[in-house]
Amino acid sequence: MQILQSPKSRALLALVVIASIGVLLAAPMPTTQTVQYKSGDETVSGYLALPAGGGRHPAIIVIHEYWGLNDWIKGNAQKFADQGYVALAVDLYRGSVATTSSDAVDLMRGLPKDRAVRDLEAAFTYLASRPDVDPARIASIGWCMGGTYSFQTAIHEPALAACVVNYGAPPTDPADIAAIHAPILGNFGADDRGITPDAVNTFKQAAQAAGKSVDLKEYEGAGHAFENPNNAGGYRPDAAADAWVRINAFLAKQLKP
Amino acid sequence: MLLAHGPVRAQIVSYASGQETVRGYLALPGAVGRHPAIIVIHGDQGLTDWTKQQAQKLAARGYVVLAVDLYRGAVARDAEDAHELSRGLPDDRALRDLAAAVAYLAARPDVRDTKIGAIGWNIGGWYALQLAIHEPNLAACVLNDSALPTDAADIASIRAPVLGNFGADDRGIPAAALHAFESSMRAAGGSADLKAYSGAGDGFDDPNDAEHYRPDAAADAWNRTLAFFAKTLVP
Repeated sequence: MQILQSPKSRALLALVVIASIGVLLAAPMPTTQTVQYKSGDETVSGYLALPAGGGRHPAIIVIHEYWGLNDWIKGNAQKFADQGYVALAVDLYRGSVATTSSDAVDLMRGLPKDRAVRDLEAAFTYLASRPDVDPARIASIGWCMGGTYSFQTAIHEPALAACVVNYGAPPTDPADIAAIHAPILGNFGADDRGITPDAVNTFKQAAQAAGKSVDLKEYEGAGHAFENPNNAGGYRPDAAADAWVRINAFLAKQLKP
Repeated sequence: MLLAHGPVRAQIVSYASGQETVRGYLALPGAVGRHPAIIVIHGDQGLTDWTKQQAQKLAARGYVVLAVDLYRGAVARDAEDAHELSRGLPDDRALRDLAAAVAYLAARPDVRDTKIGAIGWNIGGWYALQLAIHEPNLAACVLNDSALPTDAADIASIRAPVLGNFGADDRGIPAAALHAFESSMRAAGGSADLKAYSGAGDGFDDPNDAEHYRPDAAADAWNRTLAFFAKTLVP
């Protein structure tokens, strides 16, 4: 921060900022906005990122970690919009965002799971009703707690076209697994204490026996939340990069932007 | 009161949950005969010694107590680990394990099968309420520092009287959530007695959590719990 003290450096910084804006303006930027829609008797908010270009687009429901709807999740929604998807990042915590893990635990523990599922169904309905969305091409993606809810979205929304799960808890109930229609892509850390390779494998076998399409990958040397660059001890850049390649290819294949 | 029920005996027991075999920590009152029973459901740390102590304390009051182990052997090493384990727990499996715990207790000759209650802390309280939603024969439900269901149909299917203890400073569960649940329960003809302790956050009843422990609130919550179980489970 010292560098900003000198007037010369400030001038230089201003130049860099102006140049950056120029570059950003040159590329088509996704537009983002906060939108509201009904969930049961309530009105909820989400962060919507729109792709450039007209017509109907495929869409993605983006589901946050136990931290809440923070900048990393919003950035992920923008990345999807850059690729041609209408991306709606839901806010299951209704405005609360954690900055400490202690707060995140409190918010996750306090979240009524039935309300979260209702909000996700509402997000699907909202996207399906938008004139710029093709309702037959709506996917869900989530990380951590959001990964578990991405599974739940697939269980409760038979019209979901694709489901991406990053280290979320797989269902075990045969009726729940049978209710999943969307193809599933899953990325897991082999060192995850909460979702062990055994648990992933059990789900894989049950889902395949039920005739479901599942592509699950275990990353060696990675634990929980290995895709999040803010996870100081646990971020695994190589595994994260590979997971992103898989995510983008899977969504492109299932949704064809 | 303690002596009237004799010394508590504790053991690990196994029972079927779906196609799997699960284990629980069973604490028995000393006296013979049929007793009311309580399912104890741990928080995000797993089946800790503190949770087992709660089971023993309830057994000393004359209940057959089964502390379930939803994590199947894992106990959290720290807060981050607790998060990892709780996020990894499949809800459907947890609920299946709890229904299996009810069936296990109901089949025991020393249990009065119409007098089975449940108590949970933290994530365990949410599961206690889920059990109340799915098991109409549950006779009592106590939760501490737990999320509350919002779905009207779920709430209408709760037959067990509900007692809840909360910290008023709990960031995860605001007062509005308590009021909404109480009014939904009232509308459905159910009974819910929720109390929020001022100056307490979540985890206020665990002496091992020095930062959050509030001895006065903890003592009051425990007395409320004992009185509630005595009223709902003891014939």
